Amino acid sequence: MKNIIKKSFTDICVSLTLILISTLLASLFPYVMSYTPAQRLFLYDHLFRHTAGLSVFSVAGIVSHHFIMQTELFSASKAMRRVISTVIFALCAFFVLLWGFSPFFPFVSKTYILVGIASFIFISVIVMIICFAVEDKIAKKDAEMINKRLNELREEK
Amino acid sequence: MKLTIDKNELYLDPEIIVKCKEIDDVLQDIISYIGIADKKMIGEVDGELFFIPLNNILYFESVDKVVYIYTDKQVYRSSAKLYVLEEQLADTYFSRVSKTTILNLKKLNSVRSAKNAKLEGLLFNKEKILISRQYVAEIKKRLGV
Repeated sequence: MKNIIKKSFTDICVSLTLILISTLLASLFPYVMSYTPAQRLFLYDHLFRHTAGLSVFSVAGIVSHHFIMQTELFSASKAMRRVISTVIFALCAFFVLLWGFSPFFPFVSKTYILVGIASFIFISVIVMIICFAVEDKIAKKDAEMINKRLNELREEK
Repeated sequence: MKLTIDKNELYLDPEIIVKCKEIDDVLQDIISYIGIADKKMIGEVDGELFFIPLNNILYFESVDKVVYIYTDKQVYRSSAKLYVLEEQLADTYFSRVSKTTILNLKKLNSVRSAKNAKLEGLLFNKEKILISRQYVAEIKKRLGV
């Protein structure tokens, strides 16, 4: 548990620093583009919401990544856990970016984002089920192989 | 394989010499067995120390940072660390099967898949041991699968 907190803390610090720098840079945008006060207010409102969303998603993504990697939650091999974690993290990052940059892309509506998040959850669940099934099959095959070898060793004796 | 036993009262300690072209699996098994045949571990029960032959040990288990030695009849407490034991027993039939257990593979009767894709080992004394997936490759290697 200590290891998870330690590793997550470093990554969260880096991630939040990057988000903060990006937000500060984005907040200069209205001045460069000579926005009207109303446009500026609109942008800041969205910027605040998306920065908060990005921070929450980053923290959740990082903690879940380290949790999957450090614990035997899925009883999966390290490689398999890395695949699961990377898929979740990549999809999470994709939708976070989509969410964060949505004010700059008018064609990305809230409906699209909600559909995206629903798809992300659906895909994650499907990936998990496939991983469990594959792991179970591998475990059964391993057990079969070990039993066969144990019998061989007994016969040799 | 030729076996020669030279018995003489002049010899003080028994000596085993292996003459071969190369070491195959069978020979490796014999060498491993000789290596651990007279090896003993120190275990403690109620403040009393005992020498436990390695062949009598079923498994070592770490519970709350204390290592226990399990045999058919008794459970002993050991002062050794699990990772140190793992290093000491690297050339024997003992293999790490989970974060907390080192198992004597000679005492393993069979293996079956358990919940969450883990493996469950059944020992000859009917005891069950959980085997983590991450150590399966090492066990297979030790058994020559």
